Formats: sequence, C-alpha cells, structure tokens
Amino acid sequence: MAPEAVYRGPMDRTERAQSMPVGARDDDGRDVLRFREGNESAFESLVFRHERQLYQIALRMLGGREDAMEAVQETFLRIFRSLKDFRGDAAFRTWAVGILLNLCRSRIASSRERMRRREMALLKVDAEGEMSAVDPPDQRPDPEAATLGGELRRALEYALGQVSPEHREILILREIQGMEYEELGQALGCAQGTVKSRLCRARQALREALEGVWP
Amino acid sequence: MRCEEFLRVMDEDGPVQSGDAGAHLASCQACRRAFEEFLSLRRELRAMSEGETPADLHGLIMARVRAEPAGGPRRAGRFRWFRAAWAGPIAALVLFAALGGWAVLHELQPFRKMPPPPAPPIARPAPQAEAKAKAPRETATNWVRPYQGLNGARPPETAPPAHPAEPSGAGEAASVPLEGGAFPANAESRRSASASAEGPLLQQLPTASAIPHNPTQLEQEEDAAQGIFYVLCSLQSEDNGSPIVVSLPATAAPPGDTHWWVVVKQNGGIQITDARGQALAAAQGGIESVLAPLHPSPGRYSLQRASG
Repeated sequence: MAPEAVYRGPMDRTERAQSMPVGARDDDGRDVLRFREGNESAFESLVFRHERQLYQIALRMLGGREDAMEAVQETFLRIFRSLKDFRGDAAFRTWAVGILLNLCRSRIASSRERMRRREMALLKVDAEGEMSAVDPPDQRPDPEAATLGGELRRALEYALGQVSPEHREILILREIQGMEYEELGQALGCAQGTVKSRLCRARQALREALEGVWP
Repeated sequence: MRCEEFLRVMDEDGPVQSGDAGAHLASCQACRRAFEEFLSLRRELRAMSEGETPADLHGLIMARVRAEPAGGPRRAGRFRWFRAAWAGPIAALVLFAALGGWAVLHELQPFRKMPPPPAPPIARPAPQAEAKAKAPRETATNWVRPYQGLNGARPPETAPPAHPAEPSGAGEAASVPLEGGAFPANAESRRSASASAEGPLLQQLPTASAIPHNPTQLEQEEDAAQGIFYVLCSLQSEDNGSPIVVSLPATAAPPGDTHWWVVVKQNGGIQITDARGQALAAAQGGIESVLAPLHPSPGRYSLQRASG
C-alpha cells in the first residue's frame, strides 16, 4: 500500500522541524517547512519541481493526456490538503508518487468497469442469434516499422499498456523514472525483496507483450 | 555463476560487469545477448520519460489549489483533530440513543396490544331499586332477559331481588353448594376469572347464581369443551300459555319426554317436583340457579325438554 498521508496527531512547530531530518536538507524539505509556516508560494515551488515527473508517470499509467492531467491536479490538491501533516518519513517525491499511484489505480479500476460495459454494448448478434464480441481493430504496431524511430516508442507504449497495472507501475517507476529499490519499496508500500521479485515478473510480462513487435 | 542467477542480478543497482557477474557475462554468449537486449530496452524506456508536459498543466494545478478555502490546510487540520477526537464518543452516543429508542418502542409494544379498558363497574342494586325491580314480574315473558355476560350484569333497576330463602350476599351465594353442580361451577369459574382479571370491583357484582343463564352459542361451546352441556327446555305457566325457552344444564334438565313442575312461591322460593309431586333435590340447585334470577311470577310451571 502506498504511503498516503497518515495523520498521527497534531505537531507543534519544533516537532515538525525535527520530524523531517531528510526533507530539511533538500529543496523539498525547505519548501515543506516554508509552507507550514504559512508561505503558500512554497507550494508552487513543489509543483514546479514535480509536476513533470508525476505527469509522465500518470501518462504511462493511464495512457491518455486528459486522464493524466486530471490525476496530477488531484494529486497536488491532496498534497496541498495534507502537507501540514506530512512527517517526512519518506522523501516528498516518494510520498507524492504514492498518492498519484493510488489515484491511478482507482481510475484504472473504474475505466475497466466502463470498458467491460462498452464491450457488452458492442456484442453482435449473428444470423443464428448467437451473441459474440465485435472484433476490435488491430492496434499492434508493425514490427518492421518499429525499427524506425517513432514506431519503437509506440511499440513500447503498446506493450506497457498490455501488462497488468501492478507490473506497469513498477516498470514505469524503475525503468522509466529510474527510482531506486528503497524508494520503490516506500512508494509501493512493500519490502525490497518484493520489489525485486515483482520487477522480475514485470520484465518477463513486458517481453511477452513485445513478442513480435520488438525488433 | 549460473545463467539464472546472472539474469536475476543483472538489474541490481551497481555495475554487473565486475566480479562473478562480469566473469559470467564474458563467458556466456546467451547472457551477453540478453543483457544487451535488456540495456537496449531500458534505454528506450528511459527515453520515454523525456516527454513534453502540457503547457497549461501548471496553471490548472495552481488554479485548483487556490480554489481551496483560504487557509485550507490549517483549517482542515483542526477539523481533522476534531473528527479524530470526537468521532468515537459521538458514534457511541448515536448508537446508545438508537438502542434506547428501540428499547422504549419495544416496551410500549404490549400496551398497544392491550384490550380496551373494562366497562365501568355497575353499582350494586340499591334497596329502592330492588323494590322497584319486583314490578315487572307480571308475565312469564318478562322473565327471560338477554344474557349480558358475566361482566355485563343487568342494570340496577333490573337487578334481582334478594330471595328470603336464598343467600342474598355475593359471597354467600357463591358459597352455597349447588346440586347438579356443573353449570354453577362453570359460571363461578367464569366469574372468578373475570374478577381476577378485572380487579376487586367486580367482586361487588352479582354472583353467578344470581345471573340469569341463557348462555349464548359461543358460551355453550366453551362449556361443552369442559364437559358441560345444555338442554333447551320449555317453561310454561299454567296461567299463561306462552312457553319460555331456557337453556338448562343437562344435569338439571328433565329426562326424556318427562316433565317437571316448577312451583314459584309468593316469597320467591322455587320448588322442583316430578309429575307425581316428588321433590327433585338433585335438580333443585341447577334449575333454581337459572330461574331465580328471572324472578318468575308466583304460580305453577311445567318444565320439559323443548321439542326439536
């Protein structure tokens, strides 16, 4: 489980400062402290620093620009509401990524339900009265074209969309965003051993999804 | 190092080209190919992180943040403290109130199902009323009055006069041993049941032996369940030809086609004899308890089973 903001009771200013040994030494930590002291422009600095990365993660997770923008906005809104209680047990970036991943999981779950309903609506009835699904258009990239610049990217995006959300998120965080194991464990809420085994299975799933489209 | 182990550690943070992994990589062509493929894939994936960010994203984020109420985070914090501290007690209070309300409603339930309050008790007949009650004793048709139930004893003006030869008090009448016993015993049981159910006021009412007994069909069925049966009998005055039909306990009714004589004396006393003039002590009590409350006019009556 990703570390959502956990409320552990009110803290005074000294306690807050002492509770952030890591954050107090970097830019994020300073901005968090400034924000707690009432300087709301510090929050905009945090947005500037992390919006791009959060958007890229959301875009790979959700696959659509609008959905990704909405998820990032909602993430920062939640951060704004609960930043006062952020204790700094993990880095600000890890905490923010955890919030974003939770939002993405919820959106994926609801979009799956929408897709299931859409597929039900697309059932076709043949001459015998039997119902069957309408064949979806083939969106697989052309293997030969994949060797060309833009098509290789498209093949990877396609393959990422084919793996499960659990595998997708760890591939995005590790292979695309380059997060370390420790940070991955904090963002995903699991031990490092679990991170490694899940990552191994995720790579295998990605290779299978790339079968035939990866040169 | 084996191939499986190399494939597992090739992603570890840090260089894999050194140590055992490096030696294995140099010697195993398959692992070298897999490693190159892995690096190629990672390179492409890392390149995906360099995508553009929508130009309006920052403005949208800050617009939503600024739309939050002024001082939102601090105020939200205070309310969160309030919620955390009071959520438990408030929930307990609501639960307690709900349970209490349910218990009160549950307790009130039997009162809703209670029968209507009993009819107001009827006062005992006053001596003047008793004297007045003797007036209607002119014809035999006046004798039989509708059965009003044990609780619905007649109004004071129609209350039976105390028979000189009979016990007049309620307690005394109840204590008189009645021959043929089933009917009076049953009536007495009804009276005591009613008295116990409706309180001491009813103990002031006329006793079973003073109440005319013309039981309804329902009452006869109830008594039949206890082994008490009734026989329709015809009571006919020698002076007036109109017969009166009364229900007598089977133990007090004339047997078969025979008829008995009922003599009502001037003092109200009742005597039962057979056709030969022999007193019927066995039926005396049962018949007397039925007829005495009817205040029959003095005279001689023929009592026999009603035809049909």
